[in-house]
Amino acid sequence: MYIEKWKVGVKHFLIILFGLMMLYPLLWMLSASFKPENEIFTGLSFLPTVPTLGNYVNGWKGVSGVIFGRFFLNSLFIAIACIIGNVISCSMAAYAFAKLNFKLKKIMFATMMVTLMLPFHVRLIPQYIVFNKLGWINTYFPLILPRYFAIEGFFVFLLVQFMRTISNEMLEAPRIDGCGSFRIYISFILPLSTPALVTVAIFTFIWTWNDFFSQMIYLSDPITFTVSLALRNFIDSTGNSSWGSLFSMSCLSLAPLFIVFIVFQRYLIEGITSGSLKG
Amino acid sequence: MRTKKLQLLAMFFLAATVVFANGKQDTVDQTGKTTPAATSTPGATTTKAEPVSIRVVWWGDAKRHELYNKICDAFTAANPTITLVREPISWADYWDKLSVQTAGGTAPDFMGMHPQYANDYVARKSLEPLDGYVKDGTLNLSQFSKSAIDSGVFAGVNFMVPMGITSQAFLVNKTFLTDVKVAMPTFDWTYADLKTAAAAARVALDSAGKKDTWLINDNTTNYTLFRYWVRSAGHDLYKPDGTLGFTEEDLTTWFTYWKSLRDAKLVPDAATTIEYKTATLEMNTFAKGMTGIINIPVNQYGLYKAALPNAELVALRNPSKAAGKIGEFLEGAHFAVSASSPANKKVAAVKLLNFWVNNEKSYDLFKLDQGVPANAKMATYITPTLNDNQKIILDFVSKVSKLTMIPAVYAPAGATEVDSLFRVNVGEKVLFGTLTPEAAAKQIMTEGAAILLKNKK
Amino acid sequence: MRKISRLNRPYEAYLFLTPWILGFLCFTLIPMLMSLYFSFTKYDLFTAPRFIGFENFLTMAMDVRLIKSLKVTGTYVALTVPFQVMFALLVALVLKKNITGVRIYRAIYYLPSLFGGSVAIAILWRRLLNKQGVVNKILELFGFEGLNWIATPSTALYTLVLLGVWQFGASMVIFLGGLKQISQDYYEAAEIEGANKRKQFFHITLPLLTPMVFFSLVMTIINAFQSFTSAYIISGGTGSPIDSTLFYTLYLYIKGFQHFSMGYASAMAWGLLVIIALITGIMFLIGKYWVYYDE
Repeated sequence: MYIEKWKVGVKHFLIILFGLMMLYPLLWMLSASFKPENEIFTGLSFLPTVPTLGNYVNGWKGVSGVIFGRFFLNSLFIAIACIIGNVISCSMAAYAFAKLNFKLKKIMFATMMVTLMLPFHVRLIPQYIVFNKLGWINTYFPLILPRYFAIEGFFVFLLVQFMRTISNEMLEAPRIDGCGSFRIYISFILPLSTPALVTVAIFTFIWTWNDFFSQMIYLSDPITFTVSLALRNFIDSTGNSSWGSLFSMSCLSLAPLFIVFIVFQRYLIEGITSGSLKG
Repeated sequence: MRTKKLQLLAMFFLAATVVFANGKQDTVDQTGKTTPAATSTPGATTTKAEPVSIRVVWWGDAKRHELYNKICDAFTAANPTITLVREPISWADYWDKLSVQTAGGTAPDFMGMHPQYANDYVARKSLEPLDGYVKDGTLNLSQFSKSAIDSGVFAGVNFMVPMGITSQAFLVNKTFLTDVKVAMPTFDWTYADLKTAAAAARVALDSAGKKDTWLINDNTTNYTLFRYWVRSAGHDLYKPDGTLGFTEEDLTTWFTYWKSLRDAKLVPDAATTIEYKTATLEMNTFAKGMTGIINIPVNQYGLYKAALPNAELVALRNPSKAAGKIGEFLEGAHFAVSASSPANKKVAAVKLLNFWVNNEKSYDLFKLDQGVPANAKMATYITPTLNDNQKIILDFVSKVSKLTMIPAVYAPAGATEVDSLFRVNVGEKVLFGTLTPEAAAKQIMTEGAAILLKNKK
Repeated sequence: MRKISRLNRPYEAYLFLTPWILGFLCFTLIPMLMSLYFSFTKYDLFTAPRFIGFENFLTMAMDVRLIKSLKVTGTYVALTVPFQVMFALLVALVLKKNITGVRIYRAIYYLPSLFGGSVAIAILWRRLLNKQGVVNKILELFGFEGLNWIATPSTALYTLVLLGVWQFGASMVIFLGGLKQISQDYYEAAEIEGANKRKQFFHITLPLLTPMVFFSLVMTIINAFQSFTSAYIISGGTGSPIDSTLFYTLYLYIKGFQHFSMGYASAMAWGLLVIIALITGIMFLIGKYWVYYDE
């Protein structure tokens, strides 16, 4: 009995130990965010000698007159809009690829896979020109709208893999009853795919939150800046860098991601209502 | 459970849409708003001032953004019909963004420009010639010295105006020198002097047990400093016809000089040099006290003073080669106007430019942010308000400008590629010893010439 | 029981695919065709593209730096992908049960991969792996003198591999999802049959997990080939020292945005596409033999 408890204890200990090792750089950053600016790189101790909130106050002032809170809202807006788009459009496309038969299916699937492989830098300029003709530069449209058209093959692929594990036999019953594909999609596929859909949502959130390159290209007005874009303005090689602000705001920007992950995790835990023919 | 989550999401979305909608009102749509009957003659004054909005772009960090925003506000106060949409960005992203925007046809109306990159934009006709505006008085350059005006002239046409004049200096940490018992070099010192001083420093540092400290950093890949080496030999990096100006001998002697310092451990090892290559100002070897001498554009003096508050810092001229010519020249960061903007926006942008470089209100704020004001009257105007650091910068630049200098030749299209050839491609190999100075010199001559040829239109 | 064959409802399928088809045409196909066109031109972003046929591709074959970047990228992929997938699987297996605090644990192991393109990561990684870094301090305890890992040509790439593997959280999440999806029935049945934990793992968990493993491998390989941000931030956009961190996409970026050779960069991009497509095709072919779908 004690051996069991001891085993569990060791297990937890190892998990925490490796976890801390993994987290070391981030813990350092967290600690640095509370150090006064001149102590960040010169201080010898890991913990701040006199913890201060100065970096948070300064960082919050933001960039070019726009407070950091605004950047958070901007990033949040983009993330949520993208999540909705991705979840709807990618699941629709994945359902067709995974569960329905049609001509050209193989070709279309292969095409979708190919779109994943083209480095984004090269699509960047043509896409910029296309969006420019549409007058969408300096708006959020280039960042959000493509998500409503299943542009991210990664998620389609993920959902396809997941949906293929949903047994076809289980879907036969409603078919026999006369359900159309749409009913099956809404009432069966979506609920059963919830873990994967949550994964799609989490990843969309993370990626849009962290993406800086396309945001940098399309957004010019500081009031539209996102968190990752604003962070880049704290460091500049032609002037003084605000390391304290960078670290404090970076920590702050990790917080929503961290919270989102913990909260939405429940879906991964609670799982699906039923995964196979049960009863 | 799921519906509850959806409701929450929907609420978020609605709330954010409200915020976003408000936000969008602040951004002014720039594309496609041209006033009818735009005159083709630049600078034609309109009797009735119509409201116009222009996009203003500069590079910098958060502190500079604050400063320049204030200058923009001052301009708008004096010119209420002109709205300035400010789009500041960090230096690291600046040129990417500018090239993408220019390629896509959405170049900003008023932009920061730099001699290093300018030729790329001039060659592609992206910058508006400013001579017409000078002629009709919208842009007043009467108080500018000839060399200041010339710093923005390419093939006889004026494309950009300097915000401030500066020059490269060798910043010396006097306190550091005293510690290693090395004498302060004179204003007219040479590279031989530098080597002797570095060797003396090494002896002193070794006896104090400091093996991670050196007198100066390794400048093998420092293309900026190499330019002075080349100019010290009487020519510039490039010839006016757009071909390479430096010779194979310039390269070989340069690489050999720094190799000898590196082999004698008078400068940091290759790995340390690489590590600090991308360091920001307050994190580089000089600011950390690991080296005692560094070359900087002198307008950064104040920033270094802030990083090393307890050290006495002196600005020296660049060393020259024994019996060499004077390598100095004046440079600075400039402002330019986009050639693709509609006429009324160009006029507004030029008006802003004029205000920025000529108006007292601008200089009250700007002071020496990018160097000494090119406008002589303004330079005199702000002198009483300068703090000690800024006075040192001013003194240095005036001292340098009194030297007789050989003319500076501007970088042709493709220069950025040659720059990275020197700094990264070949330079780093020399640093780590995988290429000899002679082989490196040969490679740079051949490949550099090929690059420039490829970019000639 | 009447066996209903695989659904053959083309109209419904196309309806579901409409968003994807539209998106593909506007946001993918057109840009892709444009970039294909650019790859046959000399295009400096400012003036109109000038047609030069296959010249870009010929130059590519002789470009020393490009070949170096292929080597660098190949090494990076070969090292990062297996380790990333392995760690992800391992941690997912350990953390799949509802032991106390598991949610926090998962979040902790996931946190590094949230750090993507942050500017801060460059400075943090440097602090870890430079001459006076934490890693060297630990090595000192054991009596070793460490190198300047992040700035020495022979080791710089491995610091990036470490960074990539450190961010295995994404794959971990995928595996967690896949593990959850395996019905408990299988395990219960196995218990009844008397199979121990080890047998259960190899005969139930692993086979049923293969779709996710396959997905994870393919995606990690594709992403690893396209890695850009870590090299860009840590080397300052130059691939230093001596091109040892010059990822293919980083070189592409330098060529396109710093040297204004957009035509050449487009050609490079299509080259990369071909390579990735080949490798993915091979993966799919082999996949037939070891991926198990419950259909």
